[in-house]
Amino acid sequence: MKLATPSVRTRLTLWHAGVLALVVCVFSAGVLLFVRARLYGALDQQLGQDLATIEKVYREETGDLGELAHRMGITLFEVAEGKTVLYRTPGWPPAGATPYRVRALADASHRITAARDETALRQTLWTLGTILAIGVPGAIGLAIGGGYVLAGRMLAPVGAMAETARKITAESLGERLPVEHPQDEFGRLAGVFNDTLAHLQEAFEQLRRFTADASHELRTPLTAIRSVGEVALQRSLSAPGYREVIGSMLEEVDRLTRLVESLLTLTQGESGRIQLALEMVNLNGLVASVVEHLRVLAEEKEQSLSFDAPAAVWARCDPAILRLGLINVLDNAIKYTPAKGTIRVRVKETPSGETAIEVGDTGLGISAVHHGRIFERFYRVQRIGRGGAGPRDRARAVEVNGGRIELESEEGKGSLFRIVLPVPEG
Amino acid sequence: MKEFELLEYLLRHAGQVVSREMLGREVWHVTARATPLDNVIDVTIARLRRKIDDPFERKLLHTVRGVGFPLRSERE
Repeated sequence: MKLATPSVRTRLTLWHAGVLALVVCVFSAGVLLFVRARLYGALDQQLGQDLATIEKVYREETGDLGELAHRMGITLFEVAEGKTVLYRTPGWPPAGATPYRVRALADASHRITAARDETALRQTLWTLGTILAIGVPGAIGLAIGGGYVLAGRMLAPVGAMAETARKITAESLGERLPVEHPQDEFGRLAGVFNDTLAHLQEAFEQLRRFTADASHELRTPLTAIRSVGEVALQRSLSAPGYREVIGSMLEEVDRLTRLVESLLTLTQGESGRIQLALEMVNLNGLVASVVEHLRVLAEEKEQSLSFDAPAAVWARCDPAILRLGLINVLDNAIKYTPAKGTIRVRVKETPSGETAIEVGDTGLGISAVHHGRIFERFYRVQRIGRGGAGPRDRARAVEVNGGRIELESEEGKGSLFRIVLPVPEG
Repeated sequence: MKEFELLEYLLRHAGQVVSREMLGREVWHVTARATPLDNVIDVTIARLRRKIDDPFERKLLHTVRGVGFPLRSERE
């Protein structure tokens, strides 16, 4: 059976403790071996001195070997010549419960063997071993406990973030994750998360507004159709009368169709399904044809519509979509400029080398508070006229062409929409 | 001149009800049904009517609401 993956906290703690245990064990073993080697080294050195002393005494006068025990404290040794034992201290050979260290010095004629009690040495090593045996697990235990607590404290923001994130739903997108230290890893993670949430919230908000606006726009024609039909049914009419009523209803149906169509176009554009047919386009020709196209509307309002452009200006874009966007911009300029006003359309190159189409009017202007939202779908500063393609669509139309749309406007002083297209490559 | 082209198209389809959609496609060569085009068509129709109908008692250019514009010589 496979164990469930333990929590990050547990894993962190275990890893820490494991590494620490390894290090401490290696260190302890090292200390133990080192101390042992040093202690035995000292003991062997002492035994060596003993042997040297015994040999010296043996070479000078054999008789005094017995006094060595009293004079030098060398209590356990044996001197032999071949098979013959010349001298042997009492208690030789060392045996019994007490451990001894034995060293010998031998040449062709004789052999000296000495021994020393190593109980103290063993005692020292034993004590050291005991200390380490108790200390190491203690230290590891402390490391586990402390590590667990520390890891818990370090990971606490993650838990808090998860808790908050779980509570965030489509209805409470306004909530944000807590950010304790914006600079550390978790802080940055929370920051990224919050940015995503902000984008989501914005998108949701737009979607909600859009749905509300769209349903409002759809309701008006439906209400009209219904009331026209109801009124017509209440009294009997002549054939032309009915024709009139049906015509009136068809008009509204037409409006509905147009609305739904523009909705479809919009959603397709939003989801990036517009297929661009990019080509090099002579902007002057395109803009001039749009201006001529809409000139009747301006003439109807006795507005002066002028178009000036330098020599041919080329840009890489989808002419059909750009045309649609420009028609919308210009149509709105005509719509929102009072009679006898002036509309100027210009094609020019910006100082940065980009190409710009400017549509300036002497209309009502748009106050600064609306600038940000003007390109949202269906957004109207004042709800005038019919639904359908709004400023947002033009922005889309321009954006999919890789350009951008700018707005300079002051309330009461007219507006200037500027469609900026990217520099053609090559 | 769009008015002339419009008149030509209407004459070719005399007696028929011509919808805005047809006019947009055939006379203005615009396939996308953008709102401004309808205004343009309406305005052009109105101008044409001012020229061919207003001065005379016998009206030629009619409007069928919600459907389109027939060009026919009948008395209203």
